[in-house]
Amino acid sequence: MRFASGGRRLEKLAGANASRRPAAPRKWRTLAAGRDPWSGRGVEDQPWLRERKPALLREVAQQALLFPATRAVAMPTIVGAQDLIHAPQPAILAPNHESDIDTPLVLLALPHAWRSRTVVGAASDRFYRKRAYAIAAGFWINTFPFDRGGGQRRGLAAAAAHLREGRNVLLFPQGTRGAGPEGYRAGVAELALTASAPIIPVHIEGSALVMPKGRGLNRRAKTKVTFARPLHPRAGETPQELTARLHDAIEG
Amino acid sequence: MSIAPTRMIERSKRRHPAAERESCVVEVHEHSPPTLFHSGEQFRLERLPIGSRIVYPPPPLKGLVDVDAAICAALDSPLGMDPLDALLSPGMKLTIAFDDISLPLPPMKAPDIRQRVIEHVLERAYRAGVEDIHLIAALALHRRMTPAELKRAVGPAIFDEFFPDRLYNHDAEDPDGIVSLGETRHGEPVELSKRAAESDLLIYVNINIVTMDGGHKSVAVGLGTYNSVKAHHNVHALRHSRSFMDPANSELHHSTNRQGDIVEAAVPVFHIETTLNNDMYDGPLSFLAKPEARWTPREQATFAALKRTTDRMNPKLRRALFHKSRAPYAVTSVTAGAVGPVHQVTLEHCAMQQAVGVRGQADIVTAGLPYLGPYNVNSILNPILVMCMGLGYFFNLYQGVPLVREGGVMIFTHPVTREFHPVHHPSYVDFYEEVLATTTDPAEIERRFEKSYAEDEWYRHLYRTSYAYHGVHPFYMWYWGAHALQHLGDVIFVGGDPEACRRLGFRRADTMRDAIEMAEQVVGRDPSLTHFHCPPLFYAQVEA
Amino acid sequence: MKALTYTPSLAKYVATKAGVPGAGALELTDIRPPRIPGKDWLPVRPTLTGICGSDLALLSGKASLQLATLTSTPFVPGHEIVGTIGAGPRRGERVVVQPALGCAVRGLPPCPECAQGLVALCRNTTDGDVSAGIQTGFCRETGGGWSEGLVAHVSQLHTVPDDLPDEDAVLVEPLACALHAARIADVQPGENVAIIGAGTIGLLTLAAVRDAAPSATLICVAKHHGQQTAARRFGADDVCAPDRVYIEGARITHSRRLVGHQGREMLLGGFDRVLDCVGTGESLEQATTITRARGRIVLVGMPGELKADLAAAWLRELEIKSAYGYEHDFPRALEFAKQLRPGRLIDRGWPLRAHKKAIEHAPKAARAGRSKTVFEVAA
Repeated sequence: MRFASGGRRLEKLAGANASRRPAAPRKWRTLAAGRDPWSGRGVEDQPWLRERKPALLREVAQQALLFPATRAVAMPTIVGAQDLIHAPQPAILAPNHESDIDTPLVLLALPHAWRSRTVVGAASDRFYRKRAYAIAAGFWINTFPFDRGGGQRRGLAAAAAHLREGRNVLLFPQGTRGAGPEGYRAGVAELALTASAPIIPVHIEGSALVMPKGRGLNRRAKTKVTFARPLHPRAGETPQELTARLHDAIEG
Repeated sequence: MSIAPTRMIERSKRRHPAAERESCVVEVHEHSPPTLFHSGEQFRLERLPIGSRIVYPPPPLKGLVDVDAAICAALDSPLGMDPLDALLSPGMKLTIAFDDISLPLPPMKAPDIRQRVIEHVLERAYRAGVEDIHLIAALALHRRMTPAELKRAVGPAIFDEFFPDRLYNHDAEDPDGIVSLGETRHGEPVELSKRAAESDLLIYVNINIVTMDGGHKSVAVGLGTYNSVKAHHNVHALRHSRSFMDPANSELHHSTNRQGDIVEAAVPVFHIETTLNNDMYDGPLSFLAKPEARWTPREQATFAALKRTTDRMNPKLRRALFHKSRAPYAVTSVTAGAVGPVHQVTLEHCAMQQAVGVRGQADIVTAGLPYLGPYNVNSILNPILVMCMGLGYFFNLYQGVPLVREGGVMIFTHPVTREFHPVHHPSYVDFYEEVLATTTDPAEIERRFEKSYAEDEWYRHLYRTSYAYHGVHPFYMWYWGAHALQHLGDVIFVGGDPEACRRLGFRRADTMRDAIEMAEQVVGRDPSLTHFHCPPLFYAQVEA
Repeated sequence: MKALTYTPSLAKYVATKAGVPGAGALELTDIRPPRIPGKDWLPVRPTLTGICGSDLALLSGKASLQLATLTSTPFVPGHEIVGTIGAGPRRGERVVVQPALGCAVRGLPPCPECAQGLVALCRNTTDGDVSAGIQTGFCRETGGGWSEGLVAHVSQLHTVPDDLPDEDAVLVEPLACALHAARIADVQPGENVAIIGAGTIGLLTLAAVRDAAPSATLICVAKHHGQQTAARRFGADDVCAPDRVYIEGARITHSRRLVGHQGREMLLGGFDRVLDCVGTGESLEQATTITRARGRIVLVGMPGELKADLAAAWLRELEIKSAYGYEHDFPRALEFAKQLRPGRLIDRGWPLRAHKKAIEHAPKAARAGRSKTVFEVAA
């Protein structure tokens, strides 16, 4: 049976017929009783994006597109990047987290020797739900999926593997955006102690105004990225003590 | 199938307007745009198979230029009776009954035609020195009208003057307010409102929106009671009304005519009947009555915006918005006088606006059910009312033979949500839960359950004091579709709630394609499909 | 008698450097058997002769020109020889030739090095009964392994025990070099040692160091994946690729790794001993940056000409020692060979007439972990 097929403009303009399914929230995360079975990671890590040619392409794309755009919007001042040459690699880069523009800011502040050897921990329930988003994140900012939340600290194992392979790992100790100075979790410190890697505290100032949580680009503003001296975990230090030291180094 | 022009072999006295409405029947070809289907408070665009027909309503006729003059002319020179002034004398008991809120649909813009007519009548009555005037909303077993609704019907001036002692709703369950006028020769009891029966003159102000209304039905049913209405509102009578939009062939109308004769014998009745055109859609939405292929790009954009907005709106807000809409109906005729000749003229005017000639029945008839029926003004279209709209009204909007062949399938689009208005439709809830859960056969329902609902004290109380439909009303809704239930092979609702459809005894599908495929199982491969593009109201004059 | 003769000339040198195919200075020729230069010299008929990395470097023009000063052309290459004595009372005896031509061989009074037993470091390699040449296989008059017959001094010959097959015996000479290198490295128990290179020399050095210091941590830097399994079999604790040396080294030695400009990395801290068995500029530079301050780098084998940034050597006060040849290591090597079975490293034996193929194939085989190619001269 063939159906009429004219009037496509009208059909396209008017959209689909309303279906019975309840409206699914698309932008905002909702609290549901019980766990959403799709809230976990749907996509695996894309390690092919770390090969030589994709990495070169990424560097070119970052320098041509991402970093100029970030600079235009965030107008960063970078302090302490020259001293990074004296910091041992692999290390854990630990910035405070206020907005989504933090990662591109830190990456553009890093020298090439660091940036080409850095992977960024991206929340798997946010970035690794769909394959296209996973590949986009993996390409632009060289992410790996970090399973956050839960007491198991599964994501730290993936980060430790990268450290063992000699890559620097960019993790946010606060775990999420806008957690405030009280929100420093002990995961990064645990990772540093287990993998005996130094932590480089990074202080990012002013990014919350540029791209606040819950809104896209807000306005242009001046930001400042400061790299502090590396923190080496002392023998017999607990994660809480190291987190406190890290908090002082970032916020102080 | 080709739509050959309808040739009238024998010409009737007046040229039948349906013959000229060939352009209202359109065949769907490959480049046809999708068709607009109403679906409750939403719109759908559905694609129909190539080769199907769409029957569009005729464009609205122009209304009377000067309605007041027409009213005056009608009152001064009625048909079959003396002019109104002659009938009015000082000190007489005058009762003016008018149609209730179930007409017109949607409610028309202010000023309502009833208001205008009653104002004229009252002016003459005052001039004639009549003092004892009662205004009754003739609603039979429908729900009482709220003061706001009454005000909108008769106008603020009359409302302020007459409400609440001389402007009120007919109470069919008031034992003191009812008189029995005997029985017809077929044994149908006739009961009438006491005030109306004891008046010196009963004036009935009627709006004829479909050919079912008016005539003897106005008084005999409108001011009747359960006992009198029961005589023709039953399964047998409705099954033998083919259809009740065609009074000549309708068992319902034969019965009411018999009752009306008895009433006329008891009380002098001066009928004032008006007809409206079918200009339902206001201003920027008037294109909804046009065939989709004729929509300009601007109208397409307007529709797209409308559809997208209504799809996403909060349902409560949407319902409120839809029920607030007013139709810019224009009056096409005003006739007054004796019921016979007046109603004849009225029916001709109705046909002139609404009749569309269709040649041949179809295997499948599709229709989009709107949000509003006569029984849910300012209320909710619950599943039983959906059935009544679809199988009662839409199926029966024909004269001659039904548009769908015997054993065919009707496909409707409506969400059929399981919502019931607690104030207006309390008996419907129990009907849905108790009666439909047991059986859906109208005869069975009539036999087992009707009596208990009709005589239920609580429903009677709600009918008399609250704004609820009579306890027996859901049964009448079910009987309204009794002929369709007998005639059709299957009924499918597209986008309907599965639970509700199952309870009603119908099938449901998610898309029109699925529904047509399901229908093919009943009517056979390659069915002929006709789409009945109602709401702007019209009927099909079908030749087999 | 058939022999592969190496006859260099400037034109051929330039052509080889330019990479013109078929311009090699090596030819299969028919020569008179070499003259016995004096008494105590015996003719030897080679059974198997190894193709050493230094021979390959020589033939591809990558050898240092400094070497040429100490050779006499045209000569027959080949210094890893196992064969049989051709004449005399010891005729038919299986021997391994120690190629170094020291004072005793040349009939000269011993120089200070030969007096100490460092025959490979003899000063008088240009004098004496035979023409100039540091080793058999670089000397015109002695002949070399890549022929059907050569002459060797009695002091050069070491009898091969009966339970040592020819395949293992042909590698005794490199094994002797490896043992010598291990002794020079002088690894203390528990130290961290890195061995750069997993070719023949690298793997044998690895085995020698493991034998000398069983409790040291040995990491082998193998460029090709096929070499990694061989490295583990020959006693490495850990194997890594050259680009991961710093990461693995940082982990093993608990040092810190800094990454500087243009990808140059270094370890703050590092290995105690690093043995460079590759001999390229990169490997030497890498060796300097992974050794701790006042650590020891041992250069093993024979390098080509190289260019390296050795600033780290100054900054860390590194000891750079080199191991060439052997002292009294041949008997020890013969013993060790019985247990090590270095014949596993041999890829295949080629006849002399297939020398072009053999030379071409040798480096490829080396990448797969079977790093030694030999000429099968006699049956």
